[in-house]
Amino acid sequence: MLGLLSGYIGGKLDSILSLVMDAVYSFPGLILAIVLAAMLGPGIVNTAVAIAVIYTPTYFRIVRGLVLSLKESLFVEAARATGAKDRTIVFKYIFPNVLSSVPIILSLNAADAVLTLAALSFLGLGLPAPTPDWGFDLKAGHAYLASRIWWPSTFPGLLIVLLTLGFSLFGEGISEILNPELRR
Amino acid sequence: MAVLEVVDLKKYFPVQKSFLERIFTRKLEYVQAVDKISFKVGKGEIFTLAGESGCGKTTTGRLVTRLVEPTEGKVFFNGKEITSWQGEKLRKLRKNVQIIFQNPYASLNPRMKIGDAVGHPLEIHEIATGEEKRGVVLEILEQVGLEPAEKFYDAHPYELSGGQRQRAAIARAMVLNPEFVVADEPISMIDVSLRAKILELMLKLKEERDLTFLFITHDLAVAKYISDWIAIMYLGEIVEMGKQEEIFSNSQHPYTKALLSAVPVPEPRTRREHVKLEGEVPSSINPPSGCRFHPRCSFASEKCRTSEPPLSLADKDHQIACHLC
Amino acid sequence: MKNLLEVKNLKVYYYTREGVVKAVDQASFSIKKGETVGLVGESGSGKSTLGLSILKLVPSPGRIVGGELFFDGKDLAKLDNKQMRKLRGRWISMVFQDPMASLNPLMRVGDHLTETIKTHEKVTHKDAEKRALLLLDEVGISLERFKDYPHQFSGGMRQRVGIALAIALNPNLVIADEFTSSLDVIVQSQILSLMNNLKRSHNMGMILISHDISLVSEIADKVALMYAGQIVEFAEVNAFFEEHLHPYSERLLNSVPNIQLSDQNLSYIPGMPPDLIHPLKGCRFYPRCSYATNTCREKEPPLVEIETGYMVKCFRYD
Repeated sequence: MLGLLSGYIGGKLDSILSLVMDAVYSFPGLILAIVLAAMLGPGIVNTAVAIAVIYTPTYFRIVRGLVLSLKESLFVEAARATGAKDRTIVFKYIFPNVLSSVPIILSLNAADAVLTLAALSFLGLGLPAPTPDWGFDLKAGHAYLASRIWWPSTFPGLLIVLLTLGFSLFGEGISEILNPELRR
Repeated sequence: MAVLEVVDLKKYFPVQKSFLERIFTRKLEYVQAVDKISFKVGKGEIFTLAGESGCGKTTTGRLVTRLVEPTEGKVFFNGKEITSWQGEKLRKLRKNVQIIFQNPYASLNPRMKIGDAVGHPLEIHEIATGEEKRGVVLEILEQVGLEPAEKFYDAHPYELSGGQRQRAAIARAMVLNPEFVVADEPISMIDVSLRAKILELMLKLKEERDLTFLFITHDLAVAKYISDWIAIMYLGEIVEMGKQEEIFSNSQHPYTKALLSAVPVPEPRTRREHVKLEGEVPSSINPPSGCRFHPRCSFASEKCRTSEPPLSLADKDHQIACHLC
Repeated sequence: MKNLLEVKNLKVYYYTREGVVKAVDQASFSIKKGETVGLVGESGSGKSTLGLSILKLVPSPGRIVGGELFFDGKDLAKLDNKQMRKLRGRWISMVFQDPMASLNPLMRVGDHLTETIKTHEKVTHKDAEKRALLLLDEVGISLERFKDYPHQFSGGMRQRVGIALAIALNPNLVIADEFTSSLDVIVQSQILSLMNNLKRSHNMGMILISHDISLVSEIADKVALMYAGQIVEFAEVNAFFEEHLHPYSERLLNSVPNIQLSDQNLSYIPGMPPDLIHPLKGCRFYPRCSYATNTCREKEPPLVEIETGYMVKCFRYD
């Protein structure tokens, strides 16, 4: 949302928001997540918030970039030529086209988010104990590695990889549905 | 009274400089895309702006439809000055002034069904919605030859060929019943054997709806075929202008003569010597002094180097900007 | 005079997800040394694919699946990539529509020419440079631009550099694929005139691929008209424009505006462009032809030789 507005209106709002986003973006995501999670304390909601905050800048930049390029495209100019109001242009012309590019990013990020969550849990900062979580499992399994009991460590890891792959394919699938022309 | 009148129209684009360049060079540079042009288009005429790339014809088309703001000069529509119209007034003007773009693969929103895209202007201007809108759109789709209209109504752009997309774009331009249409290279991206079909459609619509056209093209053979009046542009200026028959049979400006002779003709037996013109069109950031054509003109005199020739009457229905004619 | 290049029943297919696109489906024509053949067709006719296949540069998923390509007696279809590389640039070269495509943006233009010469011939760097300078002069570029980068040249000048690269090693055959399509008409006229002179002074054969039949009429000796992957008419240029025997030729010429005529009656060809994945079993122009008969729908027309050197693929002349 922010990306849409920022990209379209441009000007001062754009410059300020971009700066803020860039600042957040430049922090290594994981470290920021750790800091935030530590600050907020354990719990599902807090963890979710921490992860959401780190990923906002990514979405923002990508959406903004898309909006900027779409703003210059010919069919937008054509819409303006028929007298469309700015609001209409943003919602009917730019937004749907941005939406079609989002699933891929979503899937990449979802996979990444899962990994971050796993990492957090591995470090003990994520979800509290009884909640099933692969990161937690990995950590728990970690202790057994020394005794050559490898399966508690490997399987959660493997599953995380598979889940990541799943998300990517899912994203591509959605993308293909929304972008029928990609099928050709 | 002319439908469209343009007086001393100018458009300068600032040159984008990189950050470092901005620090080290204080001087601002401009692309002098359109530099003081004036012309009139009468009702029911097809007025063509012709020239090579960079001559300013496309920018003029955008200026006239106010998609781009003029740097200087005035634009009049049916006698009223529209140069600085904004907001609601400008949006209402759009009902009367429409534009057809060159690239049919980019001028339609890929996410919108054809029916929605063509009908959208009706919604924007609150002329028709729902079933009524659908009715109007279906009728227009038939008129431009996209039949069966229902099938094309529900289709998306990627399902259509280039020629079909262009016809959809024309339908969209017609749906508000405009008086004046700018056609910017409407057939240059269409296959050769289908171009005449689009031209024929445009001429048919012109007759039926009493339209006035500003036709923009780099293809002089097409210009000859379709125009009533023609203005030849070079580096942002009009160098020769007049009735089509006059200009093509009796061109006087050295540039026009070179341009017309360079156009290939589908008749090998008439292979003639092209008027030799050296070099290429110079940059419009630092155009030549005086007459902009003088560096390439074999007749250039001292006066040509120092002063810009005004557009003046050479014959009936024939104006030319040249010191030596 | 023996044929420099002979294309016989060439078939080039693209194996795509949607099906097999039969881009070139039994095309035949020939060219002699010093001749210019204009290969004309609209989009999808197969002309670019045909041009690329002569140099065996058809991009995947395309492949040459049949026919013969005789260059100076050798069947190119049978040569492997290593052997083709020796031919490319040296014996057969290509000029593209977009000159930037063949120019390395990070390499100075003069160096690019020099390297090209050195790659194919055993000459010293100094000699190669001397030749590069001569080439620039020959194509009308001032010598001080030897050290410039491609982006510093205008469109027309870049195309001249592309031409210099193509003739650097004195090839016998140059294939020009829409090489003036991105140029304005006056520069186009300059470039064509340059090519004509070079063709004569180097005694090269040239295949000019274009969608613009008027352009071809200006400099070609022979015309090969393509439709749906096949060459439907092949004749000497004057004869072609006078006779235009194939119904497609006739229709096409009627749809082209002629700047020397007033009150022209332009027409267009009704119907849809041909489907290359499911080509018709009979004549591919059948749905759009005003002379069509039942035979045309059922059987593929033969390539008939009306008189020496004039071929038409149509039942009307069988």
